Amino acid sequence: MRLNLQSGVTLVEVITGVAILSVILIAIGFSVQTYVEARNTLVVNLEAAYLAEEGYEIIRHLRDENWNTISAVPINTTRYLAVATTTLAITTTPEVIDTSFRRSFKLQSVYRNGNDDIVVSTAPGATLDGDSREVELSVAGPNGTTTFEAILTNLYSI
Amino acid sequence: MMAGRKKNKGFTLIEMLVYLAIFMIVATSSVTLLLSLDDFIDQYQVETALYRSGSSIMEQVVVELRQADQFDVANSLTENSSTGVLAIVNGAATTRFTKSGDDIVLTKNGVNFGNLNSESVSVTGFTVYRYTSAAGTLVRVHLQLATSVDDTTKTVDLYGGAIIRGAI
Repeated sequence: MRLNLQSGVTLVEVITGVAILSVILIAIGFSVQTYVEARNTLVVNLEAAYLAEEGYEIIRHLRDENWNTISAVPINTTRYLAVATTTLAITTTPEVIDTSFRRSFKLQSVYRNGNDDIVVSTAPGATLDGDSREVELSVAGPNGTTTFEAILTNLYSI
Repeated sequence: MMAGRKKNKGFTLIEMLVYLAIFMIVATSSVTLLLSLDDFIDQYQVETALYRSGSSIMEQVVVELRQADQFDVANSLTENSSTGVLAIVNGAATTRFTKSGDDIVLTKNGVNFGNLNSESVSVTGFTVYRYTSAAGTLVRVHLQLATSVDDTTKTVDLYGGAIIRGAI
């Protein structure tokens, strides 16, 4: 009777056990891979965020130098920055940074109401503010596009 | 008794072969999985180290630039990636970021605040660019970092900048 109880494991049981184990292992492997890949976007996102911030600072600097540099840019038209060792400029040539980031920007008109608050152009009493522009800056990188919006005003060359 | 003995007959050769084949496949894939996990962990460590050092250095540079009111031309070394120095003045206080060897050293009023990068991250370039206008000085910084864990190596180029408005 004792021998009868020691019947061991059948092949079907072994295959089932192994199959369940491999499903679990593969699931763990894939989840770790997904996590690490998601985590690996950190540095690229950091680069894009600083490039966007730097781009805005460069446009502000060009504004500081001469408002005409800003006002000469057509509204809602894509422009790029030309960044050299000692000079900065706005250009129509696409800017590519380290082969993987493309930085561009557009300027939009700014409208104000009677209280000088910024409003949409269709708002009642909206008038064009020729001394302000809205900057829409974007940095396209390997993990998508980082955008940055800010208002630029003619502060220094009135 | 005889019936019990008959039932307990073990595996046939075919069953053993099938079992061994399955075992081999599972063992091979498990070992491959573990090896790739190890590789992933290396990537994770590299990425984390670069992110921490990169963000802490750039954030410190940008914050100090925004607080400063003057770019210290005499003590800075611009357009030099290997020994770049960013020296700025905030009132009576001086702040310097110096690339020394593979590190970025922060000094304030001559007091050394140590390296801004972690030990595992080496600073391969720190280039300072300066652009002046009547309303202030734009300072741009190009920071190059590199780190490696086992045979996973990664480099990163960070560009940042801020305008020093000057004392008004």
